[in-house]
Amino acid sequence: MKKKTFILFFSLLALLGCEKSEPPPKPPFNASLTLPQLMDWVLDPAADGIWDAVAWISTTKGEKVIAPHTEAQWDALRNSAATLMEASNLLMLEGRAKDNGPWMTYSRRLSKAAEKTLNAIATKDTQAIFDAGSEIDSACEACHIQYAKFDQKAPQK
Amino acid sequence: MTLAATVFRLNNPFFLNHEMNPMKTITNLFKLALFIAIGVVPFAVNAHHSTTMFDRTQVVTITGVVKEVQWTNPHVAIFVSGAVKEGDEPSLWLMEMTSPGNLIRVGGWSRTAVKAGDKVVVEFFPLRNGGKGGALKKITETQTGKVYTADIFAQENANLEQSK
Repeated sequence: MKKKTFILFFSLLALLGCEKSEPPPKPPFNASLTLPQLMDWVLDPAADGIWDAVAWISTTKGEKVIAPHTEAQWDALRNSAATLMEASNLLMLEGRAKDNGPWMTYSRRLSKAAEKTLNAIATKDTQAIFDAGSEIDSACEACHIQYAKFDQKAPQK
Repeated sequence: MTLAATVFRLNNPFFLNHEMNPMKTITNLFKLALFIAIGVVPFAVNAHHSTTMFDRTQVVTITGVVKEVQWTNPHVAIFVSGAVKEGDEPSLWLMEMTSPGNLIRVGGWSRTAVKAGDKVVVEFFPLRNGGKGGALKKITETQTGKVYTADIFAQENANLEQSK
């Protein structure tokens, strides 16, 4: 009986001690950019670097293929993909993430698509880069439809 | 170089860096200024943007010929020379779609589904600002009868389902 009382006493003491303990310090992230600034200044330019790199233009004179040719162009493309992959982590920072559900799903989907682009760049597979570019757009659009709700902001008649 | 290609090239750093000499660039810039002045390019061809610029309460139909197909991310674009009414002077119209990936997955498209020179009937949601362009809804090749849909609103909403 004495033993049980002893255990109960120290358990309560431990719980009281937990209540008094300080919360862990927040990570020292600087997330002072607004979401539109992060989009306009970091994510969108990086995505544009990928989207502009590979394309097919068909005219009556034939088809023109746009793709990187020089090492400098491949480097620029790789840098865009790497930036986008890492920047998708910034969307998931505490204070910036809208929720722990779909927001995180779309952010991770963007990260994976950017990583797929990086892998395609490593093998200079232009079709795979192009396909991954579409996946990047899909991740962006899915998130915009759910969170930006552009259509609701459209002018009403 | 076509006007549509000029617009794309001026938007594209890879073209600017490697295929344009200064004199050609000046000429193309002049063409582009003219192109914008006549209202043919009221929105960026290959920019990532929302769909609020299109009026989805209206559908316009034109009959004409495809001049150029830009199979690009994040939006595919088609230039069609055509007219709303038979007998009207044809104009150049810019049709925008969703990404190539969405078109392939949901609309049954391929890169060569629609080609320059194809005679087509095009249904689209027009631009709110009255410019000659819109979001492509349906394109029918008049010679083969093949139909491709390209509803940017529905096809991009499908991404939500894909993410679950």
